Amino acid sequence: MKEPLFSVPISNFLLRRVTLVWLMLSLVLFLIPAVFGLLMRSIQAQIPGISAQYFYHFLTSHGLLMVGIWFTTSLALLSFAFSSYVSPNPLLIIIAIALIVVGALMSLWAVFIGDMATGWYFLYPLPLRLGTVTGRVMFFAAIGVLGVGWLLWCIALFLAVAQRYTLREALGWHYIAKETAPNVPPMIMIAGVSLVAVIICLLMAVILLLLFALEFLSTASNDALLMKNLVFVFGHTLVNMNLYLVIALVYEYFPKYGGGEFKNSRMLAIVWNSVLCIVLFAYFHHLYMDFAQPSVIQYVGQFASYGAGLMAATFTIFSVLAFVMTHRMEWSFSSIATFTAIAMWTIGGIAAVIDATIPVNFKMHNTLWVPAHFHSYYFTGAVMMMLAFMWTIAMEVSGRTEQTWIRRVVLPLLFIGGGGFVLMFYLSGMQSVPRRYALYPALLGHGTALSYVAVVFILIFLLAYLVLAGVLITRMIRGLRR
Amino acid sequence: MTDFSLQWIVFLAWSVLSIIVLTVFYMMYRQSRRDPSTMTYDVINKKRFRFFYGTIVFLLIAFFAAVSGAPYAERETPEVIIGVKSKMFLFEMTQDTVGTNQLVEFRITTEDVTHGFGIYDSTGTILGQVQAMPKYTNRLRIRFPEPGTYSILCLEYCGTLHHQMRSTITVR
Repeated sequence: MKEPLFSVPISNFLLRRVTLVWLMLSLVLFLIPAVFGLLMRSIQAQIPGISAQYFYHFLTSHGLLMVGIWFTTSLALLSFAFSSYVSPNPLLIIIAIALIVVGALMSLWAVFIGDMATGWYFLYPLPLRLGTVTGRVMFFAAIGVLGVGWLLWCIALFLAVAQRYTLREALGWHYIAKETAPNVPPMIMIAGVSLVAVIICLLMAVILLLLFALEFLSTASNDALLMKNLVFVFGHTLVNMNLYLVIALVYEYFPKYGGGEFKNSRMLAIVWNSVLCIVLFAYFHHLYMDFAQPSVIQYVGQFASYGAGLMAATFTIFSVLAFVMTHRMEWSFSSIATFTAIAMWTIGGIAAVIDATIPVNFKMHNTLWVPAHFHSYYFTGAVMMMLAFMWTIAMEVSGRTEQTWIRRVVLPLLFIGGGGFVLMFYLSGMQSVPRRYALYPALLGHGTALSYVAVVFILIFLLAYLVLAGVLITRMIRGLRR
Repeated sequence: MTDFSLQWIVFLAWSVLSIIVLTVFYMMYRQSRRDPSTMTYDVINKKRFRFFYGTIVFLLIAFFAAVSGAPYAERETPEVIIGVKSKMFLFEMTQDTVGTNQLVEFRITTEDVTHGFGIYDSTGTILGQVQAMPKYTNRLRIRFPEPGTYSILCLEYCGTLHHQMRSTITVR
């Protein structure tokens, strides 16, 4: 490669250090929810010596921390990448990181000491029935602090974009109006559109928290259907936007491995602005089995879910494949990991679209088919892409070259471990094994056996991950000293 | 089509599509390594839109098939109505025995938090489900194809003994 991928101007020295610190921290913090995941599958496998007592505590913290850590990492990677064009404010980012770390610690306290094993999605009215009073206050405060941290970081990115582009330009609306100037990189436009959706879903979270607080502090009671809609417009959209923020990075960096670039265009602007509109309605598929929800809304949910999948397949995945077909790529750890992760995203997306089909959902809702598809596109998809970008950054900031054994040994083990782990979810989902279940009854004994195999694959993944994280952190520390 | 086969068909369809995806990705990878195509952007775009419109047709067929198969329609009058009261961590049913192939309507409520009501046959295959939400009554209509004992499992996380929230229904 002739030019560095993540070239950060010297004026952004502080930004570079801050984002590097978060990236290193995230590599370490990831181990906490990863071990919780391992423990959950071990409990389901009924491995002797592991008590089921804290299964749902692990479940809650696993979900909250995974999304919390990787969503923040996507913002950190974007800040790194944005700095080639605009300058995000590092002070805002430092405050955001502090809040996110405090929020994560508060959530751990609330779950394990305050006994708030509510599930990451804290489905109304369960959080008002579980845990200690202090635990409840701490749990909602933790969600609030995390939300403010994310919001601050999003604002830092928006303010940086606003230094150079108007909102109309940042969202690519001038392309839609058939204007060609100014040139806005696809990454800025996709991230801009996604950040708008993030802010919308964080606002929904604020309303949700206020309604919880109202009931907590008074005798008022909320509507369960409204609360469920609010929790999923927040949770579903946040996870989807996390993925799209990573896809924004793919548009920026993946073509550089082939010496080319993805150019912005009217078509791309229309597509991504449509995606924003579509994806905000896709969350309805989480409520298919709430028959009290008006049927027409359920059909809108199915239509939006299909639409989001169609857009991703036709425009992003198709473009990546066409680019690879027509370019001599430099196949490094990062490019192979990104390309494979896009394949896993596609596979998870297919499973998601299938599950978003109402009669299928009637049989597969809340079975392990659901974690199967979202672990495919999130864990073996988005997270692997983020690790790939981190690898590129670590190489550049340390001035070191890539070792062949990382690409030939560690990378395959990551995907074998991750892929085998999610395959056990698919096989379990096909056999009606429920999700969020500590111990399976004899009727679903196959779930126990498949959990056992999953544990083996998780250990393979973790072994490879520890090696990769060790190399990444060592190189980033070297980068910090340079 | 039995209920058992739907899950298998779904898995089979997903497996075939996943293998196609992996094959296509591998072929593109190989082409990039050996001899990148000289196909122009215009040609690629023509293929893209062919794929786009083809997928739209496929998805529209799937959409309308799904709408017609959705469990929300209430065209027939149920032969048996069973009230189900769910609470941490048990189901109370007004009746726990029904006849084979009778159209049974479960009217499910909850006294505390949200629960799930999932019906499993004796092989551990789910027949259908619905959620139980505070202050709402959700109606689940189902026919039991064969006599035997069917299990009912809570399918929405409802507290630390969630996995113990079960019941049965006998079909004669």
